[in-house]
Amino acid sequence: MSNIQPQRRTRSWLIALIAILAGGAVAWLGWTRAREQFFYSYLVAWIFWTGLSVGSLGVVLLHNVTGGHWGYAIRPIARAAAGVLPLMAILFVPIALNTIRLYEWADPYVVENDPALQHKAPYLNTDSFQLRAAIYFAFWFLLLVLLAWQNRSAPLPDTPADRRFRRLSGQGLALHGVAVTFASVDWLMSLEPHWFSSIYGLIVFVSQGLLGLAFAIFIRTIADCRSAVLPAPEANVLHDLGKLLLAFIMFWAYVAFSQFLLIWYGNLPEEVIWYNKRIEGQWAPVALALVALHFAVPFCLLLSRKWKRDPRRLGATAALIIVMDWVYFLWMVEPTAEHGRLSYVPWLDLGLTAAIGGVWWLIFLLLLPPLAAVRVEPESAEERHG
Amino acid sequence: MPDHLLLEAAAPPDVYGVLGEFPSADQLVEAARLAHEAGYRRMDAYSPFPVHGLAEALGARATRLSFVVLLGGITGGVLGYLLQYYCVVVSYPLNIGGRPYHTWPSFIPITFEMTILGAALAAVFGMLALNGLPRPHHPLFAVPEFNQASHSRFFLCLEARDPHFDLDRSQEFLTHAGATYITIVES
Repeated sequence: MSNIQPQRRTRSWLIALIAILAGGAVAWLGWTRAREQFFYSYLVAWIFWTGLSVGSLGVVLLHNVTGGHWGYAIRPIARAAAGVLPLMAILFVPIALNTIRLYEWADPYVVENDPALQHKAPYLNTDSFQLRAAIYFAFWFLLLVLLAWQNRSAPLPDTPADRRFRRLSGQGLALHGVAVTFASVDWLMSLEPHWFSSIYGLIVFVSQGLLGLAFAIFIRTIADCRSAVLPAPEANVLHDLGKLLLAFIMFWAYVAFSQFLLIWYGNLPEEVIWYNKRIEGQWAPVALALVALHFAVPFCLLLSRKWKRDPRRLGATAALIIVMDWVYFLWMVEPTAEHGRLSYVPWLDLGLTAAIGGVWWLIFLLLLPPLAAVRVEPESAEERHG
Repeated sequence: MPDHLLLEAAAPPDVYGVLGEFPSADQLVEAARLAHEAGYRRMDAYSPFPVHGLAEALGARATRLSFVVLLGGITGGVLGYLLQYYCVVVSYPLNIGGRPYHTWPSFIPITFEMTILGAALAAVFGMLALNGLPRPHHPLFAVPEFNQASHSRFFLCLEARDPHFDLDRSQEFLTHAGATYITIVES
């Protein structure tokens, strides 16, 4: 396996470079031809890759708190994915400097004529938007430092040092939830500053966690597909990961549907506008696709024990979830600016996602230890049920 | 007469099986593997703690419980949905804020809960039905040494209902497999 790895890495690097070049060309085309959409597409791409890093960070923290064999199999992958966060902070700069192109509340002319936005101005203004983003990233960097410190000292289980990392991770995870909630309000919900939903932060939090988990499983299964015969402990770990993925999919459907049900049932004009844009017209098929491919299909597939234990099938399901999570962020962002735009061009979203994804991937590869090292050691009797 | 004796020896009607005791979990797993290789299917192993690989060595197949649970879940969900549909559309339609009677989004939470309930009930009672519990008595309880199965001993029992079973040869088999103590269990 170790001699195959460098070749695959080279191919990986090549694909990333092609994605950056092709995506960059598309982005340039979009910049010249569809300027009004450029920043929305940039936001989709940025929020997707940021969500992947932030979600991976959450997965590692979660594993620090709960322990268990499933986590050791994907930890290095999730840690590397979380490690790309500094890049995402740099890529946030174009958004922070161009709030007026994305957010109504950043446009003084709009705010002047809108009492509701004037009322919200103490929170929703460009200065505090930038300041809050700096705080979120500073907090996430702190968590990355914590993880690096833990990785360096590598404490033995149940030593005081191990318990300290566990406690810090628990506290960090709670604050992480707060940070993601506020960040999701700033970056996504305030795209439509009149609309509000109190469960929104949780939905984004779950989407990111699901994305991080699905990505780690996907990379993990690629490594597993290399080995011809899957030893039993590996299949057991995949089984656990599949169950966790199923639980996250159900959690996502649960919170996403909860928001829909309350708004649909309340039927209040200021609340339903968000869904009216997204479940009618050209976005209706996307909404249906989300129900089918982000929930129903993977849910039914992952019910099967055989499916969860097969690296190819589990990997394909994880890949489907990753793609659909991207569609989910797209579906949340793009319908915002529908009014006043001549025509929506999906290729710009794809191009920018590929371009940012290429850079993300290169840094991820630098941080990822050789996957051959990421093997699950045979489990001991008392740890098996962890 | 010889015919009659032969029949006695093969599987006397009052014998449940032969029980062998093994000194360690590893030897129990090995014995179970050998027994499975020798063609025994109706057998069971008893140990004070879950032993890794024992179920595989015994040749245990996946149970039908998952299928029972799936059916229970689907039944619960369908019944939950139909109950609501019957109540608010057929039996007692009420106009609430001009909404349609068949307000499917508001049916989902109860349908979801009923799916869980149906699956959980099917899991508990299906498990009991498939493994034959609760069971107040078992022939093995008559073996005095078997008390130790719950804290320090490892046992393998070859049952008489196995077509492969033979009172003498099965005891011999257990001896070869490394059993330190062998006894005949009466039914």
